[in-house]
Amino acid sequence: MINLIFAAVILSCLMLSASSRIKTCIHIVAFQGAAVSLLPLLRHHIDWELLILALIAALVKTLILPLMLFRSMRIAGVRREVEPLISYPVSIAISLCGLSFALWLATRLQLTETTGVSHLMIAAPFFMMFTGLFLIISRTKALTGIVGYLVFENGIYLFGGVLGLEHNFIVELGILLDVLVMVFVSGVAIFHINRKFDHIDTGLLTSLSEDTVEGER
Amino acid sequence: MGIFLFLIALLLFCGFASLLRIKGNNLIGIMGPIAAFAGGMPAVFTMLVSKSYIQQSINFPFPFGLCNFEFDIVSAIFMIPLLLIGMTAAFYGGCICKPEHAVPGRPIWFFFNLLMAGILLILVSANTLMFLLGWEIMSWSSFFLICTYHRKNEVRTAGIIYFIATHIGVLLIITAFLLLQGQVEDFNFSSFLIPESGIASVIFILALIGFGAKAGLVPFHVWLPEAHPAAPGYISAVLSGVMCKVGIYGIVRILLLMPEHQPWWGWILLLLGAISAVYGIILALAQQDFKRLLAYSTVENLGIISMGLGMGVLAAEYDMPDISRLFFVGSALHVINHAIFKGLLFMAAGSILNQTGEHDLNRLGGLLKRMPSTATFMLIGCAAICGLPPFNGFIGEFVIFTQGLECLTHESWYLPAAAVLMLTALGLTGGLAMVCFSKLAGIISLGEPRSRAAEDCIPVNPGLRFPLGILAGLCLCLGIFLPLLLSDFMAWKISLIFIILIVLCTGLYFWRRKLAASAHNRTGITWDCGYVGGSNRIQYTGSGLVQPLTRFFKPLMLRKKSVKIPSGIFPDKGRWSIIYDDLILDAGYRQLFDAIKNICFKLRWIQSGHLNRYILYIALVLILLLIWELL
Repeated sequence: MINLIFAAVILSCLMLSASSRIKTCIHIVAFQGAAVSLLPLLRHHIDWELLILALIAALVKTLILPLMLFRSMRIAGVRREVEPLISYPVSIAISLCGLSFALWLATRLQLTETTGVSHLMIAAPFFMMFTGLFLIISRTKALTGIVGYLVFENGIYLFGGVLGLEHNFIVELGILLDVLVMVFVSGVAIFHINRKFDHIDTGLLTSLSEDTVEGER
Repeated sequence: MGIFLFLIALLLFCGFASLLRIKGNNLIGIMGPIAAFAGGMPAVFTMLVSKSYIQQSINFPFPFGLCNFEFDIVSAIFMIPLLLIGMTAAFYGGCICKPEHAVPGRPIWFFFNLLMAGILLILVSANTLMFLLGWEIMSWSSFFLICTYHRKNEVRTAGIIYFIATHIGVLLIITAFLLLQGQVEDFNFSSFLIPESGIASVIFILALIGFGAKAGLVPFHVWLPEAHPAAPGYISAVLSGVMCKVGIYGIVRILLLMPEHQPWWGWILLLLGAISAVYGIILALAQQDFKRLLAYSTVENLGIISMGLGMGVLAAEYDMPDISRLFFVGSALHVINHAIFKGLLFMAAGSILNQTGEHDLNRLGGLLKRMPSTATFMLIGCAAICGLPPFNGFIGEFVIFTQGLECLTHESWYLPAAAVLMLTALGLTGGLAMVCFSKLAGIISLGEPRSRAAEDCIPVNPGLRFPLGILAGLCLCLGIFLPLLLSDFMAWKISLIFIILIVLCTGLYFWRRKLAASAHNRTGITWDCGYVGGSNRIQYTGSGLVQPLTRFFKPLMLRKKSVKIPSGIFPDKGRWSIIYDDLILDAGYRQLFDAIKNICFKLRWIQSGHLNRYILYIALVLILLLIWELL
């Protein structure tokens, strides 16, 4: 069961790097959020704190954040990533490289002996982080950047969950709140960028850099 | 010991209190250095008499831990200029009542007190962290003091040059201390291990460049001639008289921390000193801005001190401990004396600048008639800085000179060779200093005014003359009485000769006055020479006076000449001006930094403005670090 979920997470990451529709991306992130936040419930013995935390995390990651993203999408009026910096086939290839790198990392980190988790479980979070970074770097739309950030965050959350790191209720909630606020603020920022520049293409934000302050494009 | 920690606290308190917007906040700021003088001097004198050593450990909160503070004879020697010049400069600064100095938003007294507290901390700390803390406080506050008139473009340039120089210096100093520190857990000087000779040499070189940059040794002197003219006169007095000496203090402290010295360290100190002295005085000679001239003369004098130190190290290495000791004594005396007469000269220059608004020597003249006391004090300062008896500049150089001659008798050839080098450099420097300061004193105070501003200037208020008077008096008194301190060294004879000299001169003066009173006198214009249509412009100019020498030393300087030849049948105005600039700054550092700038511009594409690319850089670095760690 657990391995199946991990496989699904990895596959969803691959899908993420290949899909051009932002709507699909948000759906996948919602799915990942659900998987990531409910996973600890399958592994450890359940107490109240863990249960409440998992439920809140699931609520935020699968419902609230995607809804906020959909709202931003509506405001900005974008449906799909028109010009990715890296084409989709190449993206898949790079993602596969990332997956192999993550697997290599998992074998090198030597966590399996000490904690007794399988290589796949270590590799999956790293792959998620990699995909998140990759999305941020290779896509021009600000919304996809936020999606990438969420994927990255999910990866970190999953890593903590896999290793069964000491879950501190307050800390985890604090991180969740951070993510929430970040998405909220980005939503507002996207709204403003959109109104100011008629697009949310970050590639064109270079006109804000020091060199070209005078000559607004 | 406790008194100095208390004084540091007091100075900090006065500094912060002077920031408050209350009535008399400036007065509080001025009282800080004066109180420090009153409180610190007795302790310094006790130390000089008892030649003992006081230590105290204090436990500070986390980053510092247990810190040692030490007060020994070396600290005491360097404490004298700090307290004395700090006090007189504060008094002088407090008495300036020109409105431009009292503009709010220029917290001079805050930084002044901070500067003094920082230097005091450096002088008493025996702990790396405390030392560097003091050093940073000193560097920062002096930067803000230099930038007092920050609205002027050249002042900002000077500030930036100083800022860069001082921070490169502090980088090297931190590295030197870290190497000296080694693996030791706490930061106290007493727990340092003795470094092996290779490491020790590296430490010495790093410290020499780092501290040398503060002391203004050539070729690390470039900030001095920019910063001193930029700052107000009394600030320059503190910078030149005190802060540059802290650089020397650092070198001495590093030498003391390492028990075994290599002979070539002495050679390097000697060579740097010789180059600084000769190069400094040659450039001083060619300057027309009198504060720049004084700044270059600071380079020269620190060169003399450094030569003394270098000879001291060399003599100690060749088993001549007595001579070595006297070299160090000579350097120490020159440290104190230079602070006094350079402080005097800078403050006098500040007065002249305030009254006339002229930087340029060639536009002054005749100030002995218009500002008699300031000009007289300046003449005394000039005589002292040339090392003329009976003033205090004489004794330090005299001790170094005589010991240099003693070294000639040593049987190996190294020490006599070094001594010959030092004697040549010192002799050349002394001669050129004579010319240089004849020019300064003569052009400013004698003759007729060369500009409207100089003609109309009025004496400064008495409060500004008082500190100059103290320092001028000290020049004379120390000149007479300092030789008595050197008990093992023909001491009283020098003092006696000086007193006879003074008595003779005074006698001659009164005799001449008596003769002049009885004769028939007629007063006329100076340089009149019986010529009817005399003009102020037939006088010697400063540049003209030293022209034979600047011509001779032309290859060492960067000459910027601009000539406009009058043309036409009825010739219009012509001009001819010549400026000598620093070859090391203009041809050396400027080229170097331009090259660095070019390289940086070629790498500009890295900063493209694409957010994605920046994140890519971060991700790549993280992944590479991860791989590097795991491989």
